[in-house]
Amino acid sequence: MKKLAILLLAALLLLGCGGADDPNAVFVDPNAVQGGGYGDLYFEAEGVRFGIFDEAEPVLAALPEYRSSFTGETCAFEGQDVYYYYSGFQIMANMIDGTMRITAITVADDTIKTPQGLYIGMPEADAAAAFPKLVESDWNLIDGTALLSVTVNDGVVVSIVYTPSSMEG
Amino acid sequence: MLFTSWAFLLFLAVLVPLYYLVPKRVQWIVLLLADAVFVGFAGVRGAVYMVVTIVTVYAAARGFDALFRRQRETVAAMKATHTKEERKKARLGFEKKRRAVLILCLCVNVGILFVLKYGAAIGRLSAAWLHTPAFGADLTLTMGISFYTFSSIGYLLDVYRETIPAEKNPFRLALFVSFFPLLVQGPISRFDLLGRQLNAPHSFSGERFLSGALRIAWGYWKKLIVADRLLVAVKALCARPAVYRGDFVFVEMLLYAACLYADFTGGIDITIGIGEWFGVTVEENFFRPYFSKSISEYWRRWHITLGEWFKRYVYYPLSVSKPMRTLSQKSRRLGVGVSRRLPVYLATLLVWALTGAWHGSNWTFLVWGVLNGVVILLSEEMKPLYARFHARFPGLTNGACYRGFTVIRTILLLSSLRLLDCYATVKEAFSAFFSMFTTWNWGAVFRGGIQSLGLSWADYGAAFAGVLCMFALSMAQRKGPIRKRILSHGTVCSVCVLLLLIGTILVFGRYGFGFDAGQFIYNRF
Amino acid sequence: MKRTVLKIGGVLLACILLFGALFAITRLLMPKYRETSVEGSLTAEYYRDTTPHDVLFIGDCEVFSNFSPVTLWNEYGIPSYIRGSAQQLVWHSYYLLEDALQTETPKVVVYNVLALKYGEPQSEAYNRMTLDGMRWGKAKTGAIKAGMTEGEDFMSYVFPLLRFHARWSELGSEDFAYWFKAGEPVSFNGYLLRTEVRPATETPLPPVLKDPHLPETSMAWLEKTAALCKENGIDLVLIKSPSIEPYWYPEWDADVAAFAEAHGLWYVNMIEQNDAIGIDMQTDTCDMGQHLNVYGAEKLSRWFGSELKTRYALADRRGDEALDAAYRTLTERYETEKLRLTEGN
Repeated sequence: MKKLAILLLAALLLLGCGGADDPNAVFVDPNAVQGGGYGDLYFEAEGVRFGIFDEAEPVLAALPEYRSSFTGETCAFEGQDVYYYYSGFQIMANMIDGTMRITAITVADDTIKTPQGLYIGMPEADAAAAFPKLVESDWNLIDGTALLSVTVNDGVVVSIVYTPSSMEG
Repeated sequence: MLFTSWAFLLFLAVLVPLYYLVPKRVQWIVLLLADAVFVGFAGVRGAVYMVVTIVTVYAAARGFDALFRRQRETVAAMKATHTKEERKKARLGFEKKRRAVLILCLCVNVGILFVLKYGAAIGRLSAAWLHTPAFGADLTLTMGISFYTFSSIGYLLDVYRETIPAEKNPFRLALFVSFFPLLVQGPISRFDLLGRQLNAPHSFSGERFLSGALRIAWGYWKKLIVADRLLVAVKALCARPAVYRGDFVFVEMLLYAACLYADFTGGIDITIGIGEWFGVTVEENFFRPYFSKSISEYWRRWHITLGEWFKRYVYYPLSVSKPMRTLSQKSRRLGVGVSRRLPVYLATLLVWALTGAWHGSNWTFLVWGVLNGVVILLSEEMKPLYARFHARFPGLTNGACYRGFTVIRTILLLSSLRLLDCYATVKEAFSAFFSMFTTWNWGAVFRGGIQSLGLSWADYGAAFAGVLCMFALSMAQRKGPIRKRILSHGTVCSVCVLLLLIGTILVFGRYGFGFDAGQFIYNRF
Repeated sequence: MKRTVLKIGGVLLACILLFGALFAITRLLMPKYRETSVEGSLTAEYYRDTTPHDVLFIGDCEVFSNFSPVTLWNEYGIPSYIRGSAQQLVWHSYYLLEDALQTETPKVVVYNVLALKYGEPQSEAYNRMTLDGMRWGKAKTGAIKAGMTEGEDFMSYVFPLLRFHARWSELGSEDFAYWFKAGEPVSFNGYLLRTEVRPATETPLPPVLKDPHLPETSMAWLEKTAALCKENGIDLVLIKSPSIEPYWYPEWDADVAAFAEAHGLWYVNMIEQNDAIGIDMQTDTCDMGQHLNVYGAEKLSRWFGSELKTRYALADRRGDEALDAAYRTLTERYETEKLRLTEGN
């Protein structure tokens, strides 16, 4: 009983400084998957910088028209992988929480160089020198939401792929 | 072996028929073996600690018995030949020995519990404050240790005080300490209430079996339909204190109140029901706690056995202890009121600090315990003030509205205190509490907020319906025990109720692939 | 005495009622796979066809999308059935074959090798779609135990309510419509008919393989499948159907070819035969090269039927009264559906 008096008093005092509720306020989850969390592991093409979990639509609009696209249907479920092909690279996008987001960027051939200075056909020693962190991370470097996986075969870079470091974003 | 695992249900399905098929004189051995299997499943480490407790407590209790006997024989033999003073000295000598045995035994058992409960926390503090290397990170509580250690200490102290005689058969004591349903989340039992029952022979009774089944099913119902569902939202809210503030904290308070009630009382229902299957009456641990009109009343109705234990073995002895009496005498010069209150208040705060510490090694628990004590003492202090208030408005306290108001007030108050149980630090808990008064965000709560907690609207609906059922049952319980009323309608009606409970659990329970029926919350203490 | 009997009777009646209710609730809550994820219906539909089959296809979506048993019958008189389902892994295929052998012994079993790339259980949802429709027996228990993902338990297959109980909040009209009614089969002897045309353009770049070989676990199950066929005097044919996506690596192709050679089996990588078959990925695929549409499936079935007939001397079973009647009904349903879908496109 008595504690109520104290509680009410405290409540009344505090209510004085309480901010009024915005009736139109919508809960924004700061932990929801969103772009921009890839640190240095971004990709750049035609002057457009983008990376893992960036919203696909503005990136596709800023890039020149893609050469073709491919919708990879899973055997049974609605989830789809959508691929967009550009000269020298390919982007994959998925629907995440109602927004199409970039979930993979793959370097397709030796015509382009990544912002990190890597390219297909690059000698292993040159790649290690250009991006020493890669060697330290056994060619699988994580920065924030992005994972850069580089495959080296016979002393030459044969594959460069950016994917999410974890699916939670 | 979780109560919510197939292994446990199979374990029971084998054990119960076996218990009644074997000759009555070996029933207790079957139970003891079952305990061994149950404890063994949880790991060897836990079993070793339990054996240490059983052995030390048994030896100490038998030691007390032997010392009492020798004391009586010695004093009787001295009667003719020695003076009263000499006999008193001899008696004191025996008392000293008993106290030494008691302290040694307490040190071992409380020591184990203390090291396991606080070892890791002390290691962290030592590293942070004294810059020593961190230690104790691998120290974790083993299953049921908080509960069986307290039960064992209770037995030890009862024998020490000669309230009960020591059990002669160590295996029968082992059965009391290790009785498996109580290892999950209590209650903390007393040997004079439970030990004898466990060791007694029991005949099968269909009605008792059905009654136990109803209680067990109701326990699972609360756990799987309400508690495990709401726990998802509560965990989400607690995990991100910076995001979920203001009115989210209010929602969290209410959800946690419902969740903890369903979880803890559900677990105890299962325990009591299983006890009934073996012909054993396990003490009730709750008495409609959310109908309490004050915090002190609430604590007499929630986790009753823990409160009783502290009262019986800590509070009373502490209040009448020599240091407290000295303190009371010395404080007389500050006034009669002070000298009367000081020992009581000190004992109360100490007991509440210990209650908090029992719940966990985190500072939040300690602060939670002390705050409970402070609120209870404040209530005590303000009694005259309220008496004057009620004298002025005499009609106020008679109506149902006022009773409802006091009940809701108590729920809100205890839920506010429980925020300390939800968050990782005291600062976070206080910050969350005060944010309720500074951040008004009901808009965000209902526009996307509630849905971001991992539950669908259907889940909230099911949980709400579950809470309503629990409330309705609690209301109905005021007219008398519900199971008794169900059973009085005959076996067929009782079986129908049981099947209805099972059916609704199967459909609406939160279990199976994608959902992990979790540990009971009190299982971690 | 009378009281006790009444009491026992009452309790028994209550139990029967509960089990009846639980049975009904389970039926209601289990996915019906009628309008979405129809592949989930395929396993169970096999038991509805009681005619014998000379050819049994087993495998994943590359069999149930790419072969038309109706064409095989109408062109060559080969009675066949496809026991395939979505992401049907190699151990599933083994046990579905074992299950089929309980009631029939086909002359040829055709196994599509794509799923060999998976050596581990992949997805609980696909497991359920493949296994829930299986009839109970040694084969089903084996299939369940062989490939449960983490968190799955056997009991939930015995009592599917334990798995699907949470669907109470997402029940739709199809759940009520097909509560106790099986409805028309969604497939045509296991074939899922699709008529859309979505030409193949460019397929995704295949990721560089860390290990170029097919998993040993998969190959061990293939070995068991070969042994099972041999035991039953069945010719096993290994095929890689002509779908161009997912990518079929040359290294995997070599692994299967080596296996086939070692076991004296015919292995055909149909991607290499696309010209001979006449598959045009501009017109014969419904999803850019992943699965064939009905036009592609018919072309492939025509070519494959002829190969099977020649290589395994399969008899033309047309003229068998029971089979004629069954396939006449099947063909009518097939043509109606083809027309309906074509008009819908």
